[in-house]
Amino acid sequence: MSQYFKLLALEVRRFRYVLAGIMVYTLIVECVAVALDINNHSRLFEWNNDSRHSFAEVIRNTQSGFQLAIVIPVAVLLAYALLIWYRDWFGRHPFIYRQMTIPGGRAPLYFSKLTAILLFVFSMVAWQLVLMSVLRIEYVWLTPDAMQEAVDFTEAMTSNEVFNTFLLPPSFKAFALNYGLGILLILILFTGVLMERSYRIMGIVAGLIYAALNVTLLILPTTFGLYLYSSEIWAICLIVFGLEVAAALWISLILVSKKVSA
Amino acid sequence: MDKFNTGQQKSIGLKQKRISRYILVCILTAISVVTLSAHYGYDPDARIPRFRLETAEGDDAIGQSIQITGNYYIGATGHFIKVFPEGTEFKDRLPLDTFMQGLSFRGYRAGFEGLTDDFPSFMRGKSYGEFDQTQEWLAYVELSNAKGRTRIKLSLLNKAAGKSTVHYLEAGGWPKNENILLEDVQVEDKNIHFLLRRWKPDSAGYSTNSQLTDYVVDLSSGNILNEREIAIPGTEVSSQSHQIRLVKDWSGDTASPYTLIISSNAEPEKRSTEKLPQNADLRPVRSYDLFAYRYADGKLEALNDLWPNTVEDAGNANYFLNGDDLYAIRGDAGRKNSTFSTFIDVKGINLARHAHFTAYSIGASELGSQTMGSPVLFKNGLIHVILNQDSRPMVAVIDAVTGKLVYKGKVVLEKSANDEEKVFNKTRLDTLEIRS
Repeated sequence: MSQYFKLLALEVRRFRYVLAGIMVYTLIVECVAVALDINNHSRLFEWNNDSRHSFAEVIRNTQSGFQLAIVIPVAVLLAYALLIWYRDWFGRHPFIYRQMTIPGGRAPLYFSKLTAILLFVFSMVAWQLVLMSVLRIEYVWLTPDAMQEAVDFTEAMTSNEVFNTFLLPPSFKAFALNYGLGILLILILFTGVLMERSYRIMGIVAGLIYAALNVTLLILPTTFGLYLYSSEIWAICLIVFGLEVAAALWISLILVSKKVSA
Repeated sequence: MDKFNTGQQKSIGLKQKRISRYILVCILTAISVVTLSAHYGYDPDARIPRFRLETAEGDDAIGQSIQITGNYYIGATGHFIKVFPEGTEFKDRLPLDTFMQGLSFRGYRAGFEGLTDDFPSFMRGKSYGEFDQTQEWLAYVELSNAKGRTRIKLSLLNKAAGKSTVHYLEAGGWPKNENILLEDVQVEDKNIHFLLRRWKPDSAGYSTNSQLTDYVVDLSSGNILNEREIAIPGTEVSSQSHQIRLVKDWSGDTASPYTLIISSNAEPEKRSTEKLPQNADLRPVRSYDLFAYRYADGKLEALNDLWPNTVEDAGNANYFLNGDDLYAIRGDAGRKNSTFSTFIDVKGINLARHAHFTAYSIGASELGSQTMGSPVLFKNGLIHVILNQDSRPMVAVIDAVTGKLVYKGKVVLEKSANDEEKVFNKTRLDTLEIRS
């Protein structure tokens, strides 16, 4: 266990500057987007004094700003899900020799990398929630008093499509489903990487077939929509999801423990 | 001693260094857990309000079969919601939804919901056909084109015995250029009737040469007993201006011995053209003829003497059959599919006695609302209408014969919020459905 925590701390430390960078980037882009919208509306307000502008409206109007603020971090995190493995082989100082020989088996190595990626993803989501408070302060600070309109925080959060459909859906069920699929994607990606590291070219082919098989199996129950009730489709999809997660972990642990070589 | 102190300081320094290694992991974990728990744990009703249909007046039991559907808007996205007396069903708009719905589209009908709850194994895989039921039988029918032949798949369930059977029936050819539609399914005594309409679309896509056939099938053996061609006056002439439509029986568990056939014909406008420009557009005038078809003996009876041949009555009304009784319900907006009305006109004729038995108007204000939604629904002799007062949906159920209010329900928030008005303003509940 201590090996796992040590490796996790190591992975987090290795990514800390990039994580801080994308956090700052998100902060800057969103603050600028909000400031621009408030500025635009202030001009209108000078012309028409009745036109108030609530925080929710500001967040609603800055959809493209939020998209821009989120696309880059998502791309960085996805790329790092691959890099987290390959940097140990192809980095300036290949590190994989030492990691492979750590006492206590190689399972902690796999789980530390997986947990690190998930920790980065959820930290970015949490950061977005923290940022909303920062943006609200910015709104109060920049918006003339007469133009401000009281609105609750939840309404502001739900007024943005980026939050509603992707980042923070309104119900926890949708959140669990979105991020559950995201976790499965990471697991499949890790398995693919380990297949490639184990069998090289053949591994790439096997990884692609494996990924296609996973997607097909997950979608397959939905094609029986005319014969199965929706509750049954959901149950089958959940079972398939569970089996795919278990299979990805099992294959990956076998590969990382017995096949992958430095 | 100094040596010992230096050693201890070194050890403390190393320990602090080891602990500091984990600080970043702890901070990131704590931020993630705390903020996400706070977001999803604190007041979820503020994000997804829960509604309920509450009885305001009349018989509580009537409200049990009613549901109102619509959307709750979170941002610009409408989330489908169903409100019934037990509460609300909220449908998340998931990123994969569009994809999954495309793959597994299952036609949703409120009428099927009760049936799938009561007879899950019989209703499995049955979602796009037609059904009819009596106290004894539940019949489900699908029509298919099997290599140029019309095939009827009849699934029957004897409710009391719990026994189901499937029969495949041949109902003539299905030429390539012909359309065939299952217009009505009706259980009548020991038989079941399928009303099939065949027509050929002309070059403009209009239906021409409509032919109606009533297939009479024995319920116990599943054999076709009779094929009756229904000759509707006017259809013998091939014309794109001629159309027919049928009114299905939605009375519920009581079998209706009739079906209503509305035959309409468009003729050029008859007015003086002297003062009109040469290329003036003369709108066609559509005339309507109503016929009642009796399943028991295949008799077609004209209703024109009972029902005036006017656009207002025949063209713009919603018709409902309830046993021998036929109701025409028309909103004041003048268009059948108009969204709102301020009152409805109800007329009823008894097809067996060939006589009027009721006629009245009900205003939305009498039901405590500014407007009423359209179209209205009908079941078991009751007219169901959705009302909208200050964005707060209500449902009124009226006895079709007397016009008296027998039930009134209103949509309320499960947990009263300070900003109730704001919640209702983001809610559009405008579709009334009756669960079977």
